[in-house]
Amino acid sequence: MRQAPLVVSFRPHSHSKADVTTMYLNTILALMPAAAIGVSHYGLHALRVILLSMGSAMVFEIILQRLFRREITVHDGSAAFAGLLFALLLPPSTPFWVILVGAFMSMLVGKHVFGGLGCNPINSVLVGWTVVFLSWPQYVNFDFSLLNYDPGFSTLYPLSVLKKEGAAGIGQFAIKDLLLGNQAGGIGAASALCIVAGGTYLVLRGFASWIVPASFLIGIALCSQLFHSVDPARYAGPLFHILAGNALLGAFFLAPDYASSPGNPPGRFFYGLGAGVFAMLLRVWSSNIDGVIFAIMIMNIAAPLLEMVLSKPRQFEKVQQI
Amino acid sequence: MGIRSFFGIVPFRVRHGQELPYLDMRDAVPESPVKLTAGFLQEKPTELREKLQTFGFGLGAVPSDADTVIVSACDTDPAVTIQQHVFSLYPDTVARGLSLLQHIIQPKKIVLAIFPCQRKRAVSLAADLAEVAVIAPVYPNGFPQMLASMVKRLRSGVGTSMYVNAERLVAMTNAVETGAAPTTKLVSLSGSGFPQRKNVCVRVGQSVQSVLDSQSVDMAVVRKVVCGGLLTGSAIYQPAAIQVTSQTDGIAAQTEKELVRYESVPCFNCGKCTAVCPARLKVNHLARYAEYSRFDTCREYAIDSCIGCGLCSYVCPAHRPLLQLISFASDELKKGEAAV
Repeated sequence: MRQAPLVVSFRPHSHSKADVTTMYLNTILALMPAAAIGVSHYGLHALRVILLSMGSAMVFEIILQRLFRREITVHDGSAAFAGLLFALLLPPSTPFWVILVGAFMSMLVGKHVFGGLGCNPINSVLVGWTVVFLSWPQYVNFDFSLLNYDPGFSTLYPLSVLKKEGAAGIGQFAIKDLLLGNQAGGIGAASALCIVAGGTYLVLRGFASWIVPASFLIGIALCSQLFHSVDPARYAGPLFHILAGNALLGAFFLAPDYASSPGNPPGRFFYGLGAGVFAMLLRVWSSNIDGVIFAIMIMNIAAPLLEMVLSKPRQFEKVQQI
Repeated sequence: MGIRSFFGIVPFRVRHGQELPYLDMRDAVPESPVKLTAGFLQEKPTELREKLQTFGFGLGAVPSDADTVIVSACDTDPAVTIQQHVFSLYPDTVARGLSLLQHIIQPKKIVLAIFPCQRKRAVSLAADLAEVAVIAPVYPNGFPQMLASMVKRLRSGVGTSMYVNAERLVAMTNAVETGAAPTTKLVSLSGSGFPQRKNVCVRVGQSVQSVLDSQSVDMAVVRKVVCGGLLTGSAIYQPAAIQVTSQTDGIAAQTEKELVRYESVPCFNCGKCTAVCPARLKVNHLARYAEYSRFDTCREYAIDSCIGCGLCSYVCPAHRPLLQLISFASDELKKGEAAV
C-alpha cells in the first residue's frame, strides 16, 4: 500500500487544545448562577428575556455574517454569550421588540461593522444596551419596570434611592440582601455572590484576567471611600457601591471583554482602575443612576492608548554555545 | 511558578524525573572507554582546545572575559529527556567534564543547572567544582538564554557566559580521553506513532527512517514526522533522506489526531500569549504587525528579544500561527539588513 504523504508544517507541533468555543462556553457557564437567581426572582418573564436575547443574537449573527460574506461562526458561542449578557442587564419586563433591537444593534454596530469577533473597539453588548437606554429609557428604568413584580423584597432600585435621598435612604438595603441578590435591578445583576463565584471560576480556569476585576473594584472602593469620608450623610460607603447595581457584573463580565480591553498587564490595571473611578464619578455627579456601563465604554475607547503603556521586554544576553 | 499557575497561567511542564527505557541502536557497542582519571590535566589548555575544535566543539574563540560556564542537564523541549538521561547514565564523566572545563576555559564559576529530580546526584557530583542551580521543570527554562538569565544571581562577574549541555560535555570528555570523535546521539522518541516512548542511542548520520523502522512504526498511520522536540523541532517530508545529526534531540511520529491545525483568523485579544511569553513581548501586536508586513514596527515591539520557544502558538485559542508570523518578520528584517 502506498503511504499518504507526510504533513509538513511550522512548529510548534503540539497545542494546548484551548479554543474560542471552550472559552465562551465556560463564560456562559459562569453566568448561569446569576441568570438562575434572576429566573428564580422573576420567573418565566426573566427566562423569556434571556432566551429571546440569546436566540436573537445568534440569529442576527448568522444573518449578518451571511450579509457580510464572512464565515459563519455562530458555533463559537460569542453571540450566545453577548445575548445572555445583554439580557442580564435588562429588567424582566422588557418588551420583545426592545430586546430584538438591542441584540441587533449590538451585533451590527457593536461587532460586525468592525469586522466581527475581536475587532470591536467597544464592548458590543454595551453598544446594544446604550441604543436601548437612550431610545426607550422607560423600558430599562428599574424604578418603573419592576412595579408589577413581587419578588419578596423591595422593588426600589438601591442606586436610585441613593441618588434621590442620599446615604440616609439606603438603610433599608441590608448588605446581606445585596449579597444574596434580594435587590431590584437587571435580571442577572442582583446577586453579588453568584457573580463573584462565576467570575472567580473564570479567573481560576484561566479564561479571564484577574487584573481587570481587581483594579475595577479597587477604583470603585477608593473613589467611594473618598466621597464617603467627605460627607457620610450624602455618599454611601464602598461596600454598598460595589454590591449595588451593575458594578460586579461590570467588573467580572463587561469590563474584561477580550477585544475591547487592553492585552498587557499594566494597561489592564489602569483600564480597570479608570473604569472604576469613572463609574463612581458618574454615579455621584451625573444624572445617570448607574454609571458603570458608560464608564466601561469610556475606558474601551481609551484601551488602544493603554495598550501602549510600556512593559519592558526581557532582554536576554548572548550566550556562547560550546 | 505557584502564583502564576494559581492565576490561570498554567506552566507548561517538561517531562522530568521519569526514567524512559533506553536502547542502544549501534551495530556493535564498543567497550566502555578506559577511565583515564583526569589525565588531561597534564596537557596544555590551548592544545586541548585545538584538539577539541577538530572534533567539532565550538571552542575556537573562547571570549577572554568568559566568567561563567553553564553546564545544563535541563532539557530544552517537553518531549525530550536526553540531557537528564545522560546526566543519570554518566555522572562520573560529567564530573570529569567539569574539571576539564575548568582546565581549558578557566572560568570564574561553573554552574550546573539541573531539574529538581536530579538534586541529590548533582550536589554530590558537583562538590567544589561547580555550583548547583535547581531550575523549575517548566518550558522554556532549559533554553540557554533562559538559564543564563536565571543563574545571574549566582554569578560573580558580568562577563560573557558560555553554555554546554550534559550530552555534549560527556562527548567532549570522551573525545579528550579516548581520542575518538563523537559518533552517537541520544534521541527521545515521542508521539503516538511509536509503540512506546523511549530514548535511543543512534549513530550520527543514520537516516530518520531507519530509526522509525527499528521501532516498527506503522508508516500507514503516521501523518507527520518531526525532527527535534515537539515545540522546537521541524517537520520533515522524507524521513529516508534526512539524517540524524548532532542537533537531533528527538524524533516524533504523530498520527492524525495529534496534528495541529493553524488558521489565519483574526486575533480576539484574549491576552494568553502575552501572559505566557517568557520575554514579556506584546505577542498579539507583534504578530499582527508581522501579518501586515510592517516589519519596522515589529522592531519597535522588541522582536529581537523573541527566543522562539513557541509557547504563544501553543496557547493561542484562535489557533493563530503566532510563532510563524514572528519568525517570518524577523527573517525579513535580517534579509533587509543583509541587503544594506
